[in-house]
Formats: sequence, structure tokens, C-alpha cells
Amino acid sequence: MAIVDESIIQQCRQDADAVSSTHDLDQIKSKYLGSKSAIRESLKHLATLDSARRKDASILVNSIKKSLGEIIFSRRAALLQEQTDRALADQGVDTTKDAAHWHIGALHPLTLTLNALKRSLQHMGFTIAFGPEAETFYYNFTALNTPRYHPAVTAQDTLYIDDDQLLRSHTSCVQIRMLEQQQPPLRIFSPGRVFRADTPDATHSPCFMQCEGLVIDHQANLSDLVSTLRCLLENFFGRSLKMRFRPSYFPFTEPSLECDIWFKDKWLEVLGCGMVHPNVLENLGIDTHKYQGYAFGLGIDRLTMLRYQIDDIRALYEGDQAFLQQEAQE
Amino acid sequence: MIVLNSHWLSEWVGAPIDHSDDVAAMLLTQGFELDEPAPLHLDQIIVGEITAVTPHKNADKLNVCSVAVGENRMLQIVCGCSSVRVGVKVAVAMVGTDLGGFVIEKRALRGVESHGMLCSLDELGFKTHSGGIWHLHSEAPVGMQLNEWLNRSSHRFGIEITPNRGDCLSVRGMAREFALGLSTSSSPPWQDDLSWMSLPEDGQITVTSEVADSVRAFHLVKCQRAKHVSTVPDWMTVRLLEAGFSLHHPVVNILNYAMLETGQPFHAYSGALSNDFHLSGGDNQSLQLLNDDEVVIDDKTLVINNNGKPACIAGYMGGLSSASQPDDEYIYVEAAYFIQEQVAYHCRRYVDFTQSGSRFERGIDVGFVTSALQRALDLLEKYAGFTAVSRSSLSVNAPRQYDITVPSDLPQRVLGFEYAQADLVSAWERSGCQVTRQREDYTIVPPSWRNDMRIPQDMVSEALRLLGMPNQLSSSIQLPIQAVRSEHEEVDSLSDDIRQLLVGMGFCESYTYTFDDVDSVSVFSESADDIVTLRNPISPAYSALRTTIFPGLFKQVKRNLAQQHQDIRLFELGRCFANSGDQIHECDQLAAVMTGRTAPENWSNDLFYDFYYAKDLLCTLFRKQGVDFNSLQWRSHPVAGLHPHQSGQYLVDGRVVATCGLLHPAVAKPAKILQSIYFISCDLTWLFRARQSVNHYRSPSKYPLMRRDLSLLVPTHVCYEQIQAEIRSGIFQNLKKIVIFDQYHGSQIPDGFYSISIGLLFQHPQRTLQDDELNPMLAELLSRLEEKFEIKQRGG
Repeated sequence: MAIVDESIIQQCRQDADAVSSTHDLDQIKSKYLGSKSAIRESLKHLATLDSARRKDASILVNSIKKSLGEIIFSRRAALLQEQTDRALADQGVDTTKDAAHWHIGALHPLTLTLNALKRSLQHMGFTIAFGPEAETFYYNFTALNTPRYHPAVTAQDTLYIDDDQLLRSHTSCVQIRMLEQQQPPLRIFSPGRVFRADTPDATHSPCFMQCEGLVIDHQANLSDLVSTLRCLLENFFGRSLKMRFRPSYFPFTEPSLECDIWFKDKWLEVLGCGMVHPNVLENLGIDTHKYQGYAFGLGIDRLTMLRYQIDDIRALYEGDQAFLQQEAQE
Repeated sequence: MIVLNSHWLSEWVGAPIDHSDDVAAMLLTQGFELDEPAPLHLDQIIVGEITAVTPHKNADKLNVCSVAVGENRMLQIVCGCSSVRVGVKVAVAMVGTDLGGFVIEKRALRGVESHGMLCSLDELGFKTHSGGIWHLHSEAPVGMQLNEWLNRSSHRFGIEITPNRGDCLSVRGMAREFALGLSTSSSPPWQDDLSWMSLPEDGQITVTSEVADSVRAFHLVKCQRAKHVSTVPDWMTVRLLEAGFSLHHPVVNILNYAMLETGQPFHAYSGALSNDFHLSGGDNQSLQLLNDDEVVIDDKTLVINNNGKPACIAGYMGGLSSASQPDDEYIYVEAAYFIQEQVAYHCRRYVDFTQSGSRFERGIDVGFVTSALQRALDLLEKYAGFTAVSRSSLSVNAPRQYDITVPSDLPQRVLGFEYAQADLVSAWERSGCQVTRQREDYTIVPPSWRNDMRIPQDMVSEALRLLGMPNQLSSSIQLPIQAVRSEHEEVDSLSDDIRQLLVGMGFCESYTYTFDDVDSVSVFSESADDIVTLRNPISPAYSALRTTIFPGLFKQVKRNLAQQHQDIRLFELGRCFANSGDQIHECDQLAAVMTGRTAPENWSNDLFYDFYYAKDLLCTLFRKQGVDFNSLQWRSHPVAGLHPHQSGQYLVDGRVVATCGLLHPAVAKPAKILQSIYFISCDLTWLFRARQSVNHYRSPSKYPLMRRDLSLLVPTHVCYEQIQAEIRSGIFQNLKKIVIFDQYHGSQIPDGFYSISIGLLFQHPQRTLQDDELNPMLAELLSRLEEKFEIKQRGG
């Protein structure tokens, strides 16, 4: 019986590389490291050697044993890896295909516009307020310094339910409702739907959205109004704007102004505003020597159409899903 | 909008006025928007004279005219109008003339060449039914440009007048504004002599004291025909037509012209009336008006009576039988000042628009009534052949002159910036005010035509209008420190939460009209009595207020289906309306509609929306808002417009708070819709109250969930709700969740039964549950189900 030499390592490696399963590798393992293997025999044989030779021989045999162990171990690891890889490959799908599973929802462009304005207004300390859409003549007209037989009350413009009830023609009614509930100072905005007797066409809609703003304070003045609107509109359009304020008339503001912005090489009317008419405040029992304020009304539809280049207002009320899904980015 | 020719205005301003961008900008800064009037085609037209007329050989209705157009030129023009006669002066559009996109060409009409066209007023762009070619005045010079003959320029201004500026509904008023902008002055192009005031007094005018306050001036002048005139000058016709007035007989035309010029409305009564006029409130008499309407005159109406019979509604419209006629030998011309509120009442009460009413209700110039009357009488004499013979006037107290006290700090306080005192005073004076400064106040007497100047703030407005605002404004806005959290904010944030949820689930937000036709709204209304209708809808298609959002969404679904989108998910948050006694109940609603595939079309699965998707959408919404399901009661109940056996409602204390279901086949069928459409709705006013926000996050349980599955054979008449009620009846402790994971009707199931598989999930917060705890509870459930409903455990 002779002690193994290093050639067995090469032999073992060849044998191990030749197998393709861990089961076969187990047989290789028992051939080279099992109880009847040459290495075992050699270890047993070491005991028969004299101490002078035994030491060197022992080092040799043990190092060969270690190497064989490593060969088997690493081959096993490699085989296991191959097995795992094969299993994963079997689980593979054609990742180049697509299967749509999620419907895309979207907020309405009017809501996007409103959200943008809301963010700005809330930053500026305005609080949201709502009011009824079916209003009384009082809130829609009388309280807003527009007596029943005022020329601004043209029957053709307003949609009436009966003599007293109507669909509000502006969000300004909310000014009155809020001032009835809350003593000045106050700073509110009120988005919502308003109604006019307009037959739908590209630029008219019988229902549309307005957003009212109202500030009543000790010194709220026209300069504050102009600054507020500049800030609001510049935030909305995301750039500095050329703006123009020109005299106009609303029964419930004095002075009244119309605000235009320079947009795509022309002036476009975007809102009406003014200093709240003293009659409006006095009717509510507010001391006009102590308080004054300003109000503005933005056309949400108009701003939406400008912002998203929509040229027909009817598109906003037709519910065409392909239109709505365009997901106008905020 | 008032449309005025720039030539007319320049007669008042005394300088030519162009329609340039600068002028438009000037008017805009003064508060007047310009609009484009409907186009006219007068600019290339020439005055011609028909010199010969021969009938067309090949056409009965055509005539071949020889028309002189000046410089010895003669045109052969074929004309279809029967009023062609030798010697008639006509408006000739020669070859090459553009009549609004229609260019006159030389062409042959049934074999005869025609070199132009003889125009009617409507062919020139006027909105009138002229019924034939326009016969110009015989003195019109042949070959002259028509514009020159008409004393007009090709520039016109279409000016929007805000309701406060009644003074600008006239040439006089607008000329004043032009003069103001151009830093010049304006004056009438005639001599103001007031000779009518020295006419002999004749007849009497009285007024009942109750209505005396509504009348500040009332004059009648009786005129006698001196010669017969059948038509007014061509230039006057065109100025009236340009301004949008319709044409009548000469007296009416002239009075309209005078009104357009001066702003003072007039009325002409037939001279056949007696000279006894009385002004009073109405007495429910009926009166047939000039527009043929028969109206009942109520006691709030100011009426002018003649011989005890109503003849005219003051400032608004006259009666048909008392009106002046083309062949009257005498007429009465009325010039009055009725207060704005009075005529405004007439305008609203009797509805139809009148030129006179629209001026009175906006306020006319009380200081100019007598001058305007003189102008009207002069025009009547000159162009209608009527001479003033006598007058009578109502004696009224002269209108009180009022003044406005403007505290000197008011402009700064309102505007936030300051004007120099001299600038302020000069601005007010330029508008015609008399200004004096007394200590800390300005005392201002506004001009008689500025009815809009009433309160100190009006004077601030006027200063702002004329002086503008500085380029740089400084604002001293201070933000409040405390955060305001109102209920409105909470409602808004709920709406945003709901939008976020539905958008995340693939729904598109939509907006639909608040109104629809009555039938469409009725389909989805529980009761026809609920429906609120409009008194003056735009059309029947928009006459009923929605009681739910379903009709609008249904319309949009139909539209999308027509566009070949089959997979649709839309939602809207909006107001709905219902009658509730005398009041209108208004509530915020969420509604959604879904149809088609639950996912976009693909090869790996193909599920379609069904009733349970719709119902679970509601449940998901409720869970997301923390609604306590114990407070909710489900009721399988037909919902209006939905399938009677695939719809139902959630109730709270007997009140419906949410509904869902499949569109009723009877509604789908007429619309030729084959696919199933599901709706949900939820009352947001309720949800706002019912929602509970999480205010305590519990630690997750460390102990395992235990699951027990039951497969049950259930008699067909027993519904799931009954089984669930047993499960929830208190048998179980630590029951976390119930799931239905299978339902089966089929061959292995005995007749009269169905199979349902239910999973029960248990979890104890502090320990692992044991089988011997769960098994007795399960046994108890099974025995109760068997006892009550004859439900058996499948395979058990």
C-alpha cells in the first residue's frame, strides 16, 4: 500500500467535472473521500510509518484530502447553481410582450386648474367657502346692490326656477353668505358652478365654473387687489405676466375693473374685480368706516382653456374619455 | 352695443376720428370695450341713375337697365327687381365690388350681359327687409361715392356700454367720451335756441300724486303737418340702420334719430287724441302695445292716459291705437324724464327690449330734456314737414341738484396710492363736475348726465378711470398668523380624497350639465315630484335640474360608446336638486359609471364589470373614509333607472345615502346599448358626517391569523345577507374578516340549492388561537344555519 500522490487531485477534478448532477457527484465524493477511498487508506497507512516520515506524509495526505474536499464542494456549488439557473429559466416569460392591466384615471382639467389656484390662494391665506347653486334673488342680486329692476338684471341672462329662486349667475353670492356668518376681517375664496342662459357653442356654456375671492379688512385696498391678482395669475401661468386693468362696471363693486393678460400676442380678459361696494357692506351691517375690501371673480373654464390650449369649451362637459385621459400635467 | 359712424362723432368733436388701435386703446382705458359690428358693404358703391329699362327677352322677371354712373359712363345691368324705373337713383355695385365675399363679376344672365348690380339695403349688409333695390333720394349726384352722399366714413365703432353709463347711449354721450380721451371738447352741430318754450300753451297735463315722484319732466308739443314727406334723408336712414334701429314712418325715424343723437327718448302720439293727458299708476287695464302684445297694466306701472284711457307705458312703449300714423295731420311729441327705477320696472315687467326703455332705465340727462326736444322739433320740421304749434308741460319741481362729499383721504384709502390734488380736481372737472374743496373734503356736483355718480366711491372710480393707476403699486398685505380650519375646508378635502381614490382606480373625472331634458331626468328620479324645472330654460333639452348625476353620465357614456370606446369609467362630484316643499333641497353627490373591461383589453385576462364591482366601489369608498358599516343597512331595492333585480341602496336610519346597480335594460335598449353599464351614487353630505378619520394606529398583531373555510349548501331562497347576519350574530370572538371565495350552481348541487364557500379569519391580539376554541364556535354556527335555513355543510 502506498501513500497517495498529488496526481489524484487532477484525476478527481476530471471526474468531478464530468458529472452533471449532485447525485453523480456524491459517487465521486465517496470514490475519493469515502471509507474505501485511496485517501482513507493512506490515512490509515500513516500510522504504520515511522515518526520521521509520518510527519511529512501526514502533511501531504491531509493537504490532498483538503484539496479533494474543495473540488467536490465547489463542484457541488456549481451544480446547484446550474440547477437553480435552469429552474429560473423554466419560469421565464417573454418580457418583451406587454399586457395592459391598469386603467388610467385622471382629474378633470377644470379640477387641475382649480387645484392650482387653490394652492396659491391658500398660500396667501384665503380660506375656501361654498354656497348653494340654487340661490334666491336676494343673494344673487339684491344683496349685491342689484335691485330687482336694475338694468343688470336682464331676465334673459339668468335661469329662474320661480320668481324668487334661480340658478346663481355668479359665485359672488357666497360673499354675502360668508359675511353673514363671519365678522370681518376675512379672506375667502369660493370656487363653484354658475349658470347663464347661453346656448352651448365653442365659447359659451350654460354651466361653467367661477372662483370668487373676497378680502375684507381694515385697509384692504385696490393696490392690494392688484398685487394679489398678479401673484395669483403669475403663479398659475408659471411666469411673469403683462397685465392690464381697465375700468368696468359691476353693481357690487366700486371701482370695478376688468383684468386682461397679454397672452399669445393679444389681450385676453380673465377676470372682473373691484372694491366691494359700500352698499353691500352696509346692508350686512358692516361699518364701512372701519372695514373695506375687494373681490374678484375668475372664470375657471377660460383659464383652463388658456392653460391647456383647449379651443372649444364644450369639450370640458362632454366626458370624452380619450380627451380626459390625456392627463394634463399639473 | 351701440354702433356709431366715426363721421357722425367727428361732427360733434370737430375733428376727424379714426378707428385706430390708439383710439381703441383710449376707449378701453375709459371703460369702453369695442366690438366688431356686423360688416357693411357700402365702401365701393357708386350712386347711379337708371336711364332706360327694357324687359329681358328671355326672362319675364328680369329687366335690362341702362345705368349712368358718372363720367359719361353707362352700364348695362340686368336686374330682377320690379321697382326699376327710369330716373330712379340707385346704389350700384360695379364689376369688382366685394359685397362681403361675393364679388360682382361681368356675367351673362339668360344671354344678356350684366355689368354690375343694383343693391338693396340688405345686400349692402343692413339687417332690414327692404324688399327691393334701394331708391336713393332724387338729388343724389350720379357717379358720387355712396359714402360721400351719405355723409359717412367707412369707420364705425361698435361700443359696449356698461349699464351704469346710460349717458353714453347716444352720439352726444360718446362724443363727450371721445373728446375727453382726445383732450378736446364736443358740442352739438346745431344752434340751441329753445324756441319751442315760447309756443302758446294749450291743453293740460296732470299727474296723480302717488306717481309724481317718478316724473321729473314732461313736455308735449303739438305739431301740424305743413307738407307731406314720405321718407327721411338717405344719410339719416343709414345712420339709423347702422345703429341697429329698424325703419318706420318718417316721424318715428326722426324721433329715433334724435334719440340716438341726444340720448333723450321721445314718443309721438297721434294728433287725433285729445289734449287732456294724465299720468297715473295702472289700474289693471289692458293695453295693446306697439309690438302687438296685449298687456295688463298693474298699479306699479306709470302710464300716460289720454281722455282716461291708457295711451303709453311711460318711457317704455306706446299703445298701438294712440301711436302716430304716417298720414296724421297732427302729432303730439313727448319729451320726458322718468326716473330710472320706474322705467326699469317697466322693462322687467313687460320684458321686451325697447330703445327708449333701455335709455331711461340707465338714466338720461335731466338737464338736456328741453334742448333735445328742440332738436327733435327742428328735425321734424326740416325732414318731416311738421311745424310745432302749441305746447303743454307738466309742472314739476325742478330736480334737486345733489352734491357728493368726498373726504380728501378717501381716494388713497380705497386705492392704496395717492393722486396729486390738482390732478384729482382736474379729472373731475373734465368729466363735467363742479368741484370745491372745503377743509378736509371735496364737494362735488356731478353733471346732470352722470347718473352713475352718487356716492364718494363713484368719484374715486371716476378719478381712477381718467387718471389710471401707477405702474408700480405697493401692497401692504399682512397674512393672518392663525390657520383657519373651516368646515368648508373639510368638505373640500373630502372631495379631494374621493377624487384621488377614484382616479387611482382608473376613473376619469368628468363634469356634466346640471340640467337635462325632463324625460332624461325622470328616468333616474324616484318621483316626478322631486324634479325642479326652470321657468326660462334655454331650451327643453336643458329644462330640468338633475336629481342625480346619472342622466349626465349616461349621456356621456353613450357618447363614448358612439366614439367606439367600450371600456368606460367616469365619475363626477356635483350638486343635485330635489323639490322639498317650497324649498329646493340641494346636495353634493358623487356618481360614477363603469362599463366594459375591468382592465384594458389584453391577452392575459378579460374580466368585465359586474354588479359586485359597482357595489364594492361604494364599500371601498366607505372603508377608505372609515364609515362604520354597522350603521349602514343594505337594501336590495329597485333604484330609478336601474335594473330592478340588480340594484340596491345603502340606508342610514331609513334614509338612502348611496345606490348602485345595473342600468335598466329598458333604458339601455332604446339607446341600442348591448353592454352592461353600472352606476353608483353616494350622498356626500352624509359621507362628510359619517366619515371617521384614523386617530389611533394600533400595533399590528404578532399572532397568526387562523382561517376556517366552510362550504355550504344553501336553499336558493336564502340570501347571503342572512348567512352573514348569523355569522355576525355574536357567536364568534376575534373574527377579523369574512370572505366569500366561491359560489357555485351546477350539476353536483341538489336542485333548490346553491353552494357557497366562505372563509372566516380569526386573530387574537395577545395570543395564538387554538383549534379547540374555534371548533365549538364553528359547530354552533353550522347548527344554527341548519336549524334556521336548512343550510348543510357540503361533504359534511
